[in-house]
Amino acid sequence: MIVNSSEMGTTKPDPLMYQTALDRLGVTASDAAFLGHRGSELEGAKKLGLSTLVMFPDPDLLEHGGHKLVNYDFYVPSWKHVIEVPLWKS
Amino acid sequence: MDANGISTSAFLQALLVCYSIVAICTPHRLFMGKTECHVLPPTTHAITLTYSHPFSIWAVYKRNTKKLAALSRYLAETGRYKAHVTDPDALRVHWDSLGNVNEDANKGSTNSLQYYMTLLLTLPVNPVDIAGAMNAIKNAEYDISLFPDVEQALKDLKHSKGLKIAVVTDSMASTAEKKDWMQKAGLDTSLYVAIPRFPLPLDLQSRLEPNMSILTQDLM
Repeated sequence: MIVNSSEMGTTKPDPLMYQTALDRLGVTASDAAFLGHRGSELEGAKKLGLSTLVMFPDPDLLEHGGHKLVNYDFYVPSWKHVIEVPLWKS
Repeated sequence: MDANGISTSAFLQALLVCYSIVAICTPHRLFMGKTECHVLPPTTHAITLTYSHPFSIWAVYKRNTKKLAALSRYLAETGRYKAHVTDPDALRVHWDSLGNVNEDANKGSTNSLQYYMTLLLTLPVNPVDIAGAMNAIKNAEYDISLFPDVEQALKDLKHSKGLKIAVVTDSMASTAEKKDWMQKAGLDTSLYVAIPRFPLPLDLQSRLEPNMSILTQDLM
């Protein structure tokens, strides 16, 4: 199932993008996680109440030459590590 | 929900995925981080990352290089354009200058055809080359590669963990096109079809606390 901005008339981080996916999957935000790479899309998901995972972060998650606090729950270095996130059942 | 807003009453049931981390549109958009790394636990405070370690800014930033490279190559081969028009970096600057048009296309106000037409006409590209240039760009759209391990990870999440999976994407391309890209790249798009299962309850915090040392080891 794909929620596509060009068919929704809006883009992330509009809550409508995530909520539509949740509705179609039949789950609530507290029972779902969002895996993304942009700060804005992660913040949008977080505001709606989803847990957030970041992989391959874009520079907007970071700060040039230094550190920047970003709001997400898990950093996942690659796809093979997604399974290790302790949000899923054993 | 705990203080971090993370569900502590049960395992999660669904994962929404941004398309850009399913597939790469350019060989430059590769993960260059540590090969032996662990999932980091949720933190009481936000996690900090730096550019130089474990990521390369060059490695994670560019997205459309292949389309631009294809356009650059096509225009150069016509022999009708000066180098400053066909230079990929110059094309990138022009591409980025069309941010509003791009945004409109992502929201469906225009479509990718109109977007690329705007790009070509404002370069400007000779009308006799428009069709060929458009074809070069559209062909490059299909030239994507999956990130390593993505299909196995999605299979494991769906079948072993019982997760429903959806892709949430900002795109001027249609859903049918995106599915087609992924299928041609070899991804089983049926992975996104929801299978209703109900994960077992769990005290999440008890699972997380043993992992807290990873944060210290890997990031501090």
